[in-house]
Amino acid sequence: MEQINYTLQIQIQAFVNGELQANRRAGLLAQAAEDSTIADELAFSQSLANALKNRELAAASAILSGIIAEEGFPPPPAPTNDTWWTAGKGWLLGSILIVMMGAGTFYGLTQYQTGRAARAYNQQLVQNTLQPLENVLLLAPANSVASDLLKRGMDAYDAAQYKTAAQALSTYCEQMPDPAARVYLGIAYLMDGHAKLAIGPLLEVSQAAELPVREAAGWYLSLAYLAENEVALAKKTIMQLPPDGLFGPAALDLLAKLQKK
Amino acid sequence: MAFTNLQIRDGLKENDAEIFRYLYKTYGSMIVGYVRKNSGSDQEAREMVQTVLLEFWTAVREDRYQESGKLDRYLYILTSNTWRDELRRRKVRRTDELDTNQMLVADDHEQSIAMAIVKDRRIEAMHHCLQQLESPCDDIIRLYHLEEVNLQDVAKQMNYDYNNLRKRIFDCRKKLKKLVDDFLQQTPLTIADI
Repeated sequence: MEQINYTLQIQIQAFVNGELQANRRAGLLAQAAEDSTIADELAFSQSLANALKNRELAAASAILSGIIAEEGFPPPPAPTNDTWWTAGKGWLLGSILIVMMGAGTFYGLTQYQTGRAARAYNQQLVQNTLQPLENVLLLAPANSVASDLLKRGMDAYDAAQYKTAAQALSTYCEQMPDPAARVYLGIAYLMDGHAKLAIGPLLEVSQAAELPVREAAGWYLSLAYLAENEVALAKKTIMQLPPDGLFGPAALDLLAKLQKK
Repeated sequence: MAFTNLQIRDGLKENDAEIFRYLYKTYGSMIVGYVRKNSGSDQEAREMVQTVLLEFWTAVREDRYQESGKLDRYLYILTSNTWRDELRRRKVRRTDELDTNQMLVADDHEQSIAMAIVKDRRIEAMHHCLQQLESPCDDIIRLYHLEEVNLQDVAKQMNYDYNNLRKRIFDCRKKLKKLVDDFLQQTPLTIADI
């Protein structure tokens, strides 16, 4: 007859419920690493706990699995290049820019844009283009001062209270090296009409973070530059965005408007 | 057929398969393209499609998704965030690697539950098999594992002798394990196998 190790069962249950102290947790994992029966029991208990605690999500996952099996796997979209300069559209726009520069138009355009009319035009462009980025941060329950600040900041952001959002996020960003939060801080500043303040955090992220965050930072940075009447910097920033990215169509449209003027 | 954001939201709350199908067919390629473009393998892209759609399902269920925004934009950002989290989590795990890297069990509380479900086929199988489990096993497992009632109380509630109950829990788990193993053998197809 099979021997049942009740102590082990209780320990595994405590592990799964997150009630085991760190040293005993590590001990159990070390045991599991050496004994495949224990590893198997532990894995089974974890899966069981997940299935029981997340029944609805598991049900949704089962529906999706069925659909994926029926429909087959989707092909990725046709590959494209990474920046405006290397993409076909980038080539075209680059050529236009070179021709304009060659003809001396660029100088005249720059002169014009430093004027009041250009400033007003740029402000209008920003106003027409600027939309807050949806909040998709997956926040864990606040359990520290920093995470509480982030939650407060993002709650205010969601409620379109950008001043409050900027205050909380700014304090949070002083404490935490969180690129996503810096993007939302920059956007909160922009939405609150403080483009100059937005440039710092957005510039930092646009140069250092991984692609998805960098892309969002780049787009909002270009708007911040434009709001500050830094047209050349705005164009340069736009041209570094991937044309098939999230902001591709909007960026192309904005660049065309800037070129036209 | 296209659905409005409102229909999608309501459909996901009802677990409407047609809405899932629509989301998969409309946005699957975008998610795959994103992951592949950002150094993900085919299999990772496949897992990410399911994970992102489940994260979206969760956001809708928790009323975090405001249907006024553009859905393609929302899903794109959700994809980028989820993929970034996955890369970050892996980076942390790599630096934490000890000689226990052959372990079958992940001591990983960073992983989102959606990702855990997608990666662990047993969870879906278990969900299916729990519904097939007969009485009193279903009650015993639910009380002990889900509601975390202590054994003495479960014994009292179910009119069992304490020692007998401990043995019963073990037997029920064994029964469930057998059902799960059989289920997995019959349905080997997973998202990673397609």
